[in-house]
Amino acid sequence: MNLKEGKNFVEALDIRTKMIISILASLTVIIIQELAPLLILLSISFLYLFCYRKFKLIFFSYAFLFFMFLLAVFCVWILLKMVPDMASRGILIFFKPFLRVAILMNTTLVLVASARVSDLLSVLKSLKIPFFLFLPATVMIRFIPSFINDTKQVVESLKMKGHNINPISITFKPVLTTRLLFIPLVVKSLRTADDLSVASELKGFGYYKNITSINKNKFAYPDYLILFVTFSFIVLSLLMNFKLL
Amino acid sequence: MKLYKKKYWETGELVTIGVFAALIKISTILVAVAGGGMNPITLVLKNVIATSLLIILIHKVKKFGVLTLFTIITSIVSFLLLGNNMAFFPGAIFFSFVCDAIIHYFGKGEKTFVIILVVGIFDFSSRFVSLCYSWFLFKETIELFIVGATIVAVGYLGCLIGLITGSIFAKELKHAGIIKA
Repeated sequence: MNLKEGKNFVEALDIRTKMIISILASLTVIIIQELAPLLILLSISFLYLFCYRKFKLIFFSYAFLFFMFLLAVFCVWILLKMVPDMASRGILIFFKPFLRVAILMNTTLVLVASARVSDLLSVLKSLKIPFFLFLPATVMIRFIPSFINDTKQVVESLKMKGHNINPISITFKPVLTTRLLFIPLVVKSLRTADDLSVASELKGFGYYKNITSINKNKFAYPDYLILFVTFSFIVLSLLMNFKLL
Repeated sequence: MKLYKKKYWETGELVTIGVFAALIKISTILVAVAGGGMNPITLVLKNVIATSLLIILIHKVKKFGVLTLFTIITSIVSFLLLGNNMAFFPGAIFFSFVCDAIIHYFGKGEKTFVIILVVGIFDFSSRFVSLCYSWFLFKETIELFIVGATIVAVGYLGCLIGLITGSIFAKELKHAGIIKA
């Protein structure tokens, strides 16, 4: 746990802790049906996100969720016109799915926004996954930025030839836009795959026994504490859901 | 003299799977963003591209387990980088394994028709698993679930088109010598 590098409490947590919290949240929300335990989980997950202290990210994420909620309300309004019986079930049932989505968003935002590529690679190593999973996952993580750069280059070259890639061109000329954009990208990626395969075989990847790591990922006291708090709130909400409390 | 024991997965095949997983992920996000959000054309188009690329991957790496490995890699990286849900991970792996078994049993990846059919089943099953999880999320309001399922169904139309374009694309790449015939 390294708070000296200017990291806040949540940011400094081990990425495995954040993964566990995210998985637990995704499993718990599908079990819980009652409003009160959902609200408790929403409050605690929001506190977890709030401690991450990226207020701009929180604002835009909730603004997007609110927009989606409004869109759903609009869809429901149309449905109510067609199926008037739905109105008798009350507006609260339309609210619960969004509580679940908000809980999932709170937990996954922390995981996704705080995970750096180097952290992810060291986590993959520390999880001791087999080489046949580790290598493609590493290639995928490492080459996403490279593909983004390739795409930018293709888009720029298309601009020079007079083809702009924008929502209008992709909507009205989908086949042409796809051909212009993806044929170069696919051919380039096939060549990249071949080059990388040769390079990794020459370096002898896959023929060492253990993968070593410079970063030693270990659970610290705050990781255990936050996992304990998470488990406690999940148990509490489940007990409330099944009327055992 | 053999220096090393030959492994089932060669390094080149693993790299190819990783590169294609990244390409599929980026290209689908790219099309969705370029389309400006909720655009039905891009919804279909991104599925056309993803399915086409998946067919090329299966043509390039003709081994049992390629779909399963692709699903595992995509799920892990999407979970860590994009916050995708891990709850439907076991279901997706099960169906991808079944699809791999079908490809291996009927022609060991050599028959184009079998590959097209299995990729169609794979795309359908992955959407089915996602919709099952969505049903749990939206169980109180089935009407909202139906709206979502309709959008997924429109997306699956793109997969069906992608089966045709993918097989044409794979044929061209075989002709060009980029994929081994």
